[in-house]
Amino acid sequence: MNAPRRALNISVLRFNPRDPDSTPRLQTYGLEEADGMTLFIALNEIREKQDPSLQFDFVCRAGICGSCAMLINGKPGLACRTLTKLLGPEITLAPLPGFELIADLSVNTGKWMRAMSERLRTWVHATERDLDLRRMEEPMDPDLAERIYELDRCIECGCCFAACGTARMRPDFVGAVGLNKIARFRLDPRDSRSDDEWYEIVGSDDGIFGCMSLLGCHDVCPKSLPLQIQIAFIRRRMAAMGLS
Amino acid sequence: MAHGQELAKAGVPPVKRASRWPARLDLIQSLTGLALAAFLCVHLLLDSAILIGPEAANWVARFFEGEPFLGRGYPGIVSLAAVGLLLLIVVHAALALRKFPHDYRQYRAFQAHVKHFRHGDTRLWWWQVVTGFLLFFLAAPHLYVVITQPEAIGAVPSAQRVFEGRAWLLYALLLPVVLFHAAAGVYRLAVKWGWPSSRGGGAPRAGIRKAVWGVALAYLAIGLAALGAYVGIGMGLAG
Repeated sequence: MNAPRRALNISVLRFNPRDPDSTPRLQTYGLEEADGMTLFIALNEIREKQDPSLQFDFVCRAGICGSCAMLINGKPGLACRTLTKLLGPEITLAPLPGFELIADLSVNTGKWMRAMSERLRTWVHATERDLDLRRMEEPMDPDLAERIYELDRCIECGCCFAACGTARMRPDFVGAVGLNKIARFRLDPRDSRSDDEWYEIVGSDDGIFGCMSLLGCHDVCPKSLPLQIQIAFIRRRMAAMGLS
Repeated sequence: MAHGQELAKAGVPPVKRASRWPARLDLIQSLTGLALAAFLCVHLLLDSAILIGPEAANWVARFFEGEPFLGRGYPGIVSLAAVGLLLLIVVHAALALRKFPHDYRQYRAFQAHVKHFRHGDTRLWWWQVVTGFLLFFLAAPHLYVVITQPEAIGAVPSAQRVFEGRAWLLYALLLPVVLFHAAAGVYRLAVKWGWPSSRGGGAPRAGIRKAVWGVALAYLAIGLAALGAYVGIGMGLAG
């Protein structure tokens, strides 16, 4: 406890596109590291004590809401899940690329995620028979429920999309978050869509065939989703449609 | 069906089904790449016959001219095979070109991403693109010689071409570039299609990487040794 505390220099890429006087610049804040400090704690301390104008998002502080994703020394990650002691004393923070910038570290991932959900139709498409609300719901095999839940852990933080080299070149690419959702609903027995219908949604160069397997998504996912395996699986299923 | 017919009667065009071609092109790109990598493995092993001796190299050359089956060698067979290979490369390159950055904006965006993200597989892809691009120029002259002078393959004519014809420079550049491209490509194929995959987790990427680089280095060693042997023979013939 008595060990000297480290001095941290946190440089933040600041820019407010709504302010005509604002120009993109790096602003460095110095602060003393505390025990168990996360970047989320550090940013709050900066905002409280040094600069109330600094903008960044957070809600849950526990890696569940996905709001605080940002580039941490160039790599996408969640501020609330990143301990400062695992980083050097010089830390650079920048907003997540690929999304609409609100200001400073705050980006509008929600807008992008909503558009993605509508484009990929990421909700259960039931047949008319299943829409009878008086009928008992079919029991689901616990193993299958577990497998669906595994993919449902996605918090839509946007890290995978920011880490995607393909998406950086081609912004219309659906990204790992979208492909993971396709894998999730394809598993779900309540969803009646066939591979024919999945192909209509992701069987293109903006969809599964745009993926160049750079695997940045897999390596940065804060929830450690098995993105590589899921994307490979969807690719195999959709490639098989090309032979049918 | 009846619904569809009613719509057609009413003049509503049928809903277009998504083209199956993106799926086929993706498969063809992967399969041509795999075939070229497999060809390269066999090709370099056969080249290294010179390390056993000139007779072995000559035997390989006559074998592929069809001598054991047809009674005498037909160098045209080698030309034909090289034309087939060139076509395979053309198809593979044309399909792979779709993935290259298409303009300056895409190029800048990707370069900035590589620089800041510092991610191994992302950087590897860029070098896969660079080596692929170099192969347009390095593989073409090699194939042109094989297509136009198929009879000049064997211990003596090959050694003369390598040394006096200064083909050694082309081969010394081609060999590491093609091996890098093939190793990166095979690794990419494995992670792209999910083979081999360990249960539960992702494909064991580190293991696949080690395996492909190990094989590539071994091929680089025997390839360079074979090239050195031809240079040695060529020097002897010239001197």
